[in-house]
Amino acid sequence: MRLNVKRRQVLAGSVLGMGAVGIGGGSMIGLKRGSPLTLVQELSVPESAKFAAALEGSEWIEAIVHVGSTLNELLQDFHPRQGVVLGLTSDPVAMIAGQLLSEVGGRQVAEGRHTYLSGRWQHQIDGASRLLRKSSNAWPAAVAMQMLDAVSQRTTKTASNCLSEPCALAKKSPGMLVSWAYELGGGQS
Amino acid sequence: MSNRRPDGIALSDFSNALDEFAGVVGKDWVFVDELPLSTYRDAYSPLADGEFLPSAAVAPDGVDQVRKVISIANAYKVPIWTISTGRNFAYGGPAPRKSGYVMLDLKRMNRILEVNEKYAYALVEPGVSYMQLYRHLQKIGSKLWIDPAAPAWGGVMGNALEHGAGYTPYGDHFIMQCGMEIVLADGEVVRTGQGALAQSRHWQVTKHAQGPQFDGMFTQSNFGVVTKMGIWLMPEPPGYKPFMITYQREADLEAIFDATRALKVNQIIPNAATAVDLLWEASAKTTRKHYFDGKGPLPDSIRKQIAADLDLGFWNFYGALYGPPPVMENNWKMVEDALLSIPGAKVYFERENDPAWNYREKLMRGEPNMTEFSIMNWIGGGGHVNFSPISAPDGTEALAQYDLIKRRCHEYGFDYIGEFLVGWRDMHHILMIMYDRGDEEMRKSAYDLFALLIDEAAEAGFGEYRTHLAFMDQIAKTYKHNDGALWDVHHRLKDVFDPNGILSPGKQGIWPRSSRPPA
Repeated sequence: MRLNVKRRQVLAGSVLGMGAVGIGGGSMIGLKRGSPLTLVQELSVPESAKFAAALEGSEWIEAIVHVGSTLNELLQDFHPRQGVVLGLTSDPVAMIAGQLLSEVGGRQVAEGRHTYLSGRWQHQIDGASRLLRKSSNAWPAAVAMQMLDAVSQRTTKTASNCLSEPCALAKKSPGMLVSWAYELGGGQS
Repeated sequence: MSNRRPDGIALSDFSNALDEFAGVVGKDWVFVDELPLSTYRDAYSPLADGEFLPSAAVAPDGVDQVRKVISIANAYKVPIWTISTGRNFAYGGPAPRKSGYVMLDLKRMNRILEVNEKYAYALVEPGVSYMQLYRHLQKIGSKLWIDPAAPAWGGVMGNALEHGAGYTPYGDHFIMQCGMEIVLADGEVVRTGQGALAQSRHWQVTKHAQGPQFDGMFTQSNFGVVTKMGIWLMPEPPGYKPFMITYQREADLEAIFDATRALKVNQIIPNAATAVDLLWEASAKTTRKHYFDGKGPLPDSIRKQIAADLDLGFWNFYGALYGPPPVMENNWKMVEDALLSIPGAKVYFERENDPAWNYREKLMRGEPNMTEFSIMNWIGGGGHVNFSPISAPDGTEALAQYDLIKRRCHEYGFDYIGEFLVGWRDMHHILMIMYDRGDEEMRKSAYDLFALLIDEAAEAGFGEYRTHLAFMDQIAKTYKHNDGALWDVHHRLKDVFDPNGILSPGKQGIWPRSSRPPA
């Protein structure tokens, strides 16, 4: 048996089909509004569920990949082909997904870091932080909205840091999360 | 296009080499831009991010293309760094030893060439992952097990070539490999063992042929590029009995391994008997932030609290029995006598809602998974590097090593997070130094701690069996017997097999003459 690996899939751990970025040229990928979104939800992480819930109603969501405790779904069921893949997940899931997506030509278009420290969430994100500053446990929904704006190019990339209102750490939360988005299949110029 | 280039290579030569690579593999399989090249960074590096990045990558699709690529690299003296799946995170991942090398990426060579049910082996190419082989066996209805390393995306061949280990009775992957095909630096293709006999049908059945056995020379080395490898697979046994035993005191480590030695040497426990420390085990279920917001190692009182909350021991011993149920029950009595005689020991044959038990129980029966990545949540920020000294399966040695390493971890502000595994006669100690990649000071401390441990362990008689790119030279220097005679042999071989020094220069501290550091 041989996996059916196509052009540019050589760098992939899973089988995804992408545009080529070979010796011939650099890539300038512009995300178009209306690109389909694939959402990665980590089932054991409560913040990931809130993030997903905030986006589930969006007409742009084309697919949701549910990642269980073995994380095997990232190797088995993770086959986005175009559009944007995004999630609010633990750092290991962000790393694995990022590696797989980059290997098929995915370009990171958003990244935020969310760390629980001394009774508050500290957010390091691209874009304005007003909504996040005012949120406590509902912050994943605020991040979801912010990322939706970011990937649809309605916000500029300005890094900002903020602290949430005081809140408790959910029992199953890892306490350090990454919000991330990769764009796929943008073609070349 | 990347502005990196191999040291000492003129731009025109480099460009010509890239063009010629493209002529062999097609231009779509030669990568020169920053975006695709960024995938070869070590995501968990203890060095500054992106310190080791290639100038280009070339991805051949078969042995003939590998030969041609190597021939071009030789003509232009372009250094190439070979990877198979490139998932060796904690030891450098897909990154090259030096920036500017050209990656020889073999992921595209991912064919499972043969599964032999009768003789229980597979013949694979470099890009075959554990998950791929596992799913293939499931699909064809095979009754053979694989032996995966902890991360399912790792490569069957790459892990064996790096002396990696798994958790079934076939856990010593290099011992279980049988028969290699290798492309040498001059382009010659060599098959080892019975593979050298043109008419042989037994390449994957016996390691032996007339003359020396060379397979080991092509592991953790840079004398050739392995393009095919046989791996023995374990027939599904008629019974499987996994177990976990918790121990309440740090000092129990000594008694655990004194008891384990006889069980292992006599093959009563046939798989890798593993004692996992409290925090490694806990990190699959919770994170440090839930218990402690401060810096530095966790106080003892909190460690005790974690153990109580999660029903864990200070050491948590995993093993399994395999075979016909009456044989297993008989062997279990010996395990019970030896390992449950330690005061406070408590045995489990099942644990509910326990992800650590779940993934280890799967690994011990050859089911690959990615769960172990979750333990990186312990600190948050994901960085980790593994320090891996070897010793004998002896309680006193285990405790001495543990005391030495734990003390240094605490001095540098890190929790001790580790495990001990006993193979046939060896004991691997894996210390996972975890740090937040976003915390520069912590990352640097992790690097300094690692460097100190190498020398202190060597001084105490413990060498590492495997290491991260950044520490290969330092560890090579600890093998000092007779003025470093072993590495002198490696270098003499390197000069003969690869006179231009193009294959993975610096791998495991083996450098070509032109870039060899002074002795």
